Amino acid sequence: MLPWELPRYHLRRKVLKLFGASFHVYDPAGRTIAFCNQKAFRLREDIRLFADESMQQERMWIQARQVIDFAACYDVVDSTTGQKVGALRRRGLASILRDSWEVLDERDAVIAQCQEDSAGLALLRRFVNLIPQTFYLRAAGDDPVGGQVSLRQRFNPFVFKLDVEVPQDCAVDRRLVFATAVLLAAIEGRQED
Amino acid sequence: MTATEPTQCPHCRTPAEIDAHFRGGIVNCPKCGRALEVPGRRDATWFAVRIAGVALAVAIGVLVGQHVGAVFGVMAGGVSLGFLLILSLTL
Repeated sequence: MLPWELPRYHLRRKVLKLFGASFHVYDPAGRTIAFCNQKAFRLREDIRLFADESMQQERMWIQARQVIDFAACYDVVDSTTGQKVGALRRRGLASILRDSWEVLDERDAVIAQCQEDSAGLALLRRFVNLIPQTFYLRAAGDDPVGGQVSLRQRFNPFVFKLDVEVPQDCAVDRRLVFATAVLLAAIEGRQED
Repeated sequence: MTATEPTQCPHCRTPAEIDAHFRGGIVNCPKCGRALEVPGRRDATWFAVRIAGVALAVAIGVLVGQHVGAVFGVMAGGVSLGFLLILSLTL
């Protein structure tokens, strides 16, 4: 079973990593279902997802389009099929107060939004970094289809941990949901360092 | 008429004209459907940062050169450039 097919999984950032970043992805039973590696010394973010820590079987590839951008965009490729699934774009201005991401399809049309839980808590987090973040991902539109995905950071001042819950009726491609979780762990987790 | 970026799919070798909006990104090949990287990065911000970095290194070199000596000025400029390069790779 591919990791993004599970309804619940947990990301944990590897603590002792000198250059770049790595994450383990666990199922509810605590078994490792994936291993993410963020390449170091790359001007553009390059994150690869593998079946396990041996890094033999690549499952997903996330790459930034630009080196520096206020509204950074990351393309997501399903390495098992060799096809681009979609992209994730950070909403630069909106993210100043409340982290906001747009989920795009392969033609860059917005299909979902991912946002921090509340503007008040988001503002408080800018000053008190210890408050764990919670994101909700939902299909775009005035009357969104399907349930919302929750991405909750656990309270831990030393190790970044993220719990992801995907409802059965989630209308967004689960691979993009997974990529969102990985990017949040990589980008938001790095901001806390 | 939208601008396009000519490229070639590395999998099926088919030439393709990709919308310039996707420069620097990844798209699916119109023929085989597999992912290909589009050349021609749009990195205006990064270009501006590099120019500012070089200008800063030159300014440091000139300042040090004026107060200490030309040789030290060149060394300071070189060290500044090297430091900025390492910083850009590790951030």
